[in-house]
Order: sequence, then structure tokens, then C-alpha cells
Amino acid sequence: MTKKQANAALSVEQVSKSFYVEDEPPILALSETDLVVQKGEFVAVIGPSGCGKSTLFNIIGGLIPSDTGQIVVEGKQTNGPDKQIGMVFQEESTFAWRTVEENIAFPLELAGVPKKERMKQAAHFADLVGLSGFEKRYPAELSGGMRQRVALARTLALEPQILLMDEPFAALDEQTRMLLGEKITDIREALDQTVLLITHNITEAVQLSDRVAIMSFRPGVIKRTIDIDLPRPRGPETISSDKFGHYVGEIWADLREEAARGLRESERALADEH
Amino acid sequence: MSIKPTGSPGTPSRFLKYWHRHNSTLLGLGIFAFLLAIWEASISLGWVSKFVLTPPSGIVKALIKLTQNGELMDALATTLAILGAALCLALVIGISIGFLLYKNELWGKAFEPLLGAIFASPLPLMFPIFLVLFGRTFYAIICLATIYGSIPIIMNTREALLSVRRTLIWVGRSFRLSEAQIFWKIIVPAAAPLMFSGIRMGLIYALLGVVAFEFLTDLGGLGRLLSELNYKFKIPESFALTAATVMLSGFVLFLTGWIERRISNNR
Repeated sequence: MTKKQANAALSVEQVSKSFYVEDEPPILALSETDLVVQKGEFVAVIGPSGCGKSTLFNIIGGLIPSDTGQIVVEGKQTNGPDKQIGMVFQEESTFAWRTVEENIAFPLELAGVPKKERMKQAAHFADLVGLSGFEKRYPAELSGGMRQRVALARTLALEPQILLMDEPFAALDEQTRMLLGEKITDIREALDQTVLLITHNITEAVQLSDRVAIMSFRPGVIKRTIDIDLPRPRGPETISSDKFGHYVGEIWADLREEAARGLRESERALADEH
Repeated sequence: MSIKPTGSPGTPSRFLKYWHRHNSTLLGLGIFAFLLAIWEASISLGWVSKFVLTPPSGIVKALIKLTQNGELMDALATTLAILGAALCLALVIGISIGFLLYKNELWGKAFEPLLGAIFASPLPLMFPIFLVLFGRTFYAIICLATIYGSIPIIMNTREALLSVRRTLIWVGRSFRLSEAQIFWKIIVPAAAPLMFSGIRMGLIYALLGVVAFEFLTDLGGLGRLLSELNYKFKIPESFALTAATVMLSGFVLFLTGWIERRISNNR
């Protein structure tokens, strides 16, 4: 174990994963992938569609097993979902039959926290994600961005040390996405959390991260990591700066080749189908 | 040139507000009242013979008579008792089988077309089979209504459980919930509205089966009373009983619809 890995909040070590489809050769989604995230760090993993980003997310979260390799959280190898990790999903994941506060209090309810205490906590986290005043509303009465914040607050309620997010803003418009990005960085600072964000949006990755890990197209491996040396908070001045643009260009230069390969392969697969 | 508003921007009148909130209900009631008036007029004006068609006023009188002499209440009690027994059995059988077919994908796929075929088949086809199996008894009616009631419950229970999004289950897993906790805390509440739609359909099918089979077997309940009144050419009473059965169906529909809306509320 290297010194870097010893101080890490999260280590992905030599993780591989293949998927098997009947009558077809196995698809190698991840190949001996390594990634180390230090305590308090905000790392974005970016890659083209189909590169295995979500597979990596599911393996780190303990939702699916890897074929080889291991996930180490705070120095301990994980086996399934780890209590130090909180997951925020790309798809709509709020519970339609529960109000905002009941959604947020859900994990606390299962942890046996008394009702009065968990409602107090739910109000606190609703406030933290900017949903104060909406506690009694149902998800259907909220916008997509608000529902995603409910899911975030529900994950935060258990106060995980590591926040793992899979394209949480993918379904939102650009402006909402940027505002929510600012909210996430504020929360991360307030709670002193480590964040691993899976995304395909280069601007979002540069706006939010300390480091961006670029994944290759299938089989997915971390091709390169880029440190983002930009001051925080990253407001409009930072986003419009030359340095920000330089990072975006640098990532795109690396990503372009992979994205083009992904596009070619998906078009070839479509042609083979017909 | 100044532009002035042409109408008052004030709040709409109470009548308009009420109309906008309940316009479909009010329109439905209006059409119903209009049809009743045409019906009444067609007989009082002599367009249709009163021996063929009883006017609404005559139906009300006959309904009061049937209620006062106790015949309607006795028949209603019998039908409701049979329906209650059939529904309880249909719920237990329907939800259990629906759950098993959800858990076992192969069996679920194998049974789906068979259930669909039974569900789509005409109800009277089953009558002779049940008469042979159980004889002319209330068990035959309960059994038939149970089967008819349980099929939509089985189909919707399976469909509802299968339709729960994988992400919701993964949320449960990410919180380290046990499979039982995921089932009861996430899958069941997420599936509840569609499951209840099946229960609602099952209740309506069971009611149809009970009344139709009562009519045929002449055993008891609303169906038997209707058969007897028809046989004796008591036309107003026959119309009154039909109206009472329609009202019962309407009440069942309203009640189950209300519960369904409560379950699906705010989704």
C-alpha cells in the first residue's frame, strides 16, 4: 500500500468488471481500474457514454460486485454498501408516497431514531439543501431540481463521510445544474465531506472538482487525472476566466478521442443489428 | 392613447369558481337529469307504453315498496355477504399468487397469457362448470366470484411489483436495508396504486359474477329477486331492482375510486 493510499478516504484498486449477454462475447466494462480519493477531496470522474462510469459508481457503492480488485474505504476493504458512503442517483429516486420531510427522515427512521429527533434532523437537512418551507410537500409537487435536492438531503441525513454521486444533475437544465453545483460545494464544505462525482459534463467537472479523472472508452480505465487549480468559490468570474477555459479544453482534448471511439463503436453495433 | 382594461380584473364569482372546480360532475349530473326527464315525459306523453317502460317516478315508488316489504334488504344482505366472502378469498388468493408470479419470472411469463385468456372470456361460459363442481349452492357462486375477482388482482399485483423502478430498490440497498425491509418499505408502497387498481377491478368483476350467477341459479340475493320479479312480470319492481343494483355498483365504484385516489394522492 502506498502512502497516498494509506491516507485515502476511498481507493479503487485493480477493479475489473465484465457483463455477459447471451450469444455475444463478454463486454469488458472496467479493466483493472485504479483511483484514489483523498479525505476532503472533490473528484470528478468523466468519460464518454458507455465507458463504465455508472458501473464504477455501482461497484464503489457496493450495489454490484466487481470481478476482480477491491474497494477500500477509510483503510478497510468493503463488502457491499458501506455506511461511510452515501449515494445520490442519476434517476428520480424520491419516494412519491412520502412528503419531503418523510423522505429525508427515511434512513433515520430505519436507524431507529425517535420521530421527534428525526423530524428535527429532516428540517435541518431540508434547510441545508434550500428546501425550507417545502417539508410537507410531496415530490410530485416539486420541480426536478428540488426532487434531486430531496434525494441529496435524504442521503446526507445519515451524515456519510463520502458522497458518491452519479450524474445527479443530468436531467436538469444548465442553469439549475450550475446553481445546484454551487449548493453541493457549499454543503461539502459545511459537512467536510469527500465527494466522488460521476459525470459526462466537462464544465460541471471543472466547476466543482479539485481533480478530474478521465476515463477511456470500453474497457474503462482511468486514462489521466488533471488537478484543477482554481480558487473557490468558483463563481461567474472563475467560470469565465481563461484558466477555466484552458482546463475545459485540456479535458476535451483527452476525451474527444475516447468519445469519438465510443460513437464509432455504438454506430457499428447499430449497423450490425440491422 | 392610454389602454384601459375592458373587463374587471377582480376575482371570479362564487358560482364560476364552483363551476370550474366541479364542471365535469355538474355536467354529468345535468345530462343524467335531462335523460330522466326525457324518459319520464316519453311515458306521460304516451310516446312509449308504460307496460314496456316504467317511468322514473314509478321506479322510485317500486323501490320504496321493495324496501318497505324487506325483499330488497334481504336480497342485498345475501348478495353483500356472498360478495364479501368472495372478495376476501380473492384478495388472499390474488395477492399471494400475484406475489409468487412476481418472484418467479418463468412462472410469471408462463401464466400471464393463461390469466389474460380467462379474464377476457365471457362470464357465463364458466357457469356450467361450477354448477357441475359444486351443485346449485352458494359455494358455487362464491367460488366463481372468487376466481373472477382474483384474476385482475393477480395480474395487477404482479405488474405493480414488477413496475417498481430499480433505482428505488438501489436506494434501499445503499441504505443497507434487508430484502424484507426493501419489500415492505419501498416495493409495496411504490406498487400500491397499481395493486389497488387490480383490487378495484376484482371487486367489480366479483360483483358482476355474483349477481349474474344468482340470477341463473335462482338461489338468493339481488340476482334471484330480479329473476323472480321478471318471471312474475312485475315490470316496475324489476326496473327498481335494476336501478338498485346499478346504484350498488356505482357506490362500490365511488368508494374504491376514493380509496384509490387517497393511495395515489400527490404522486
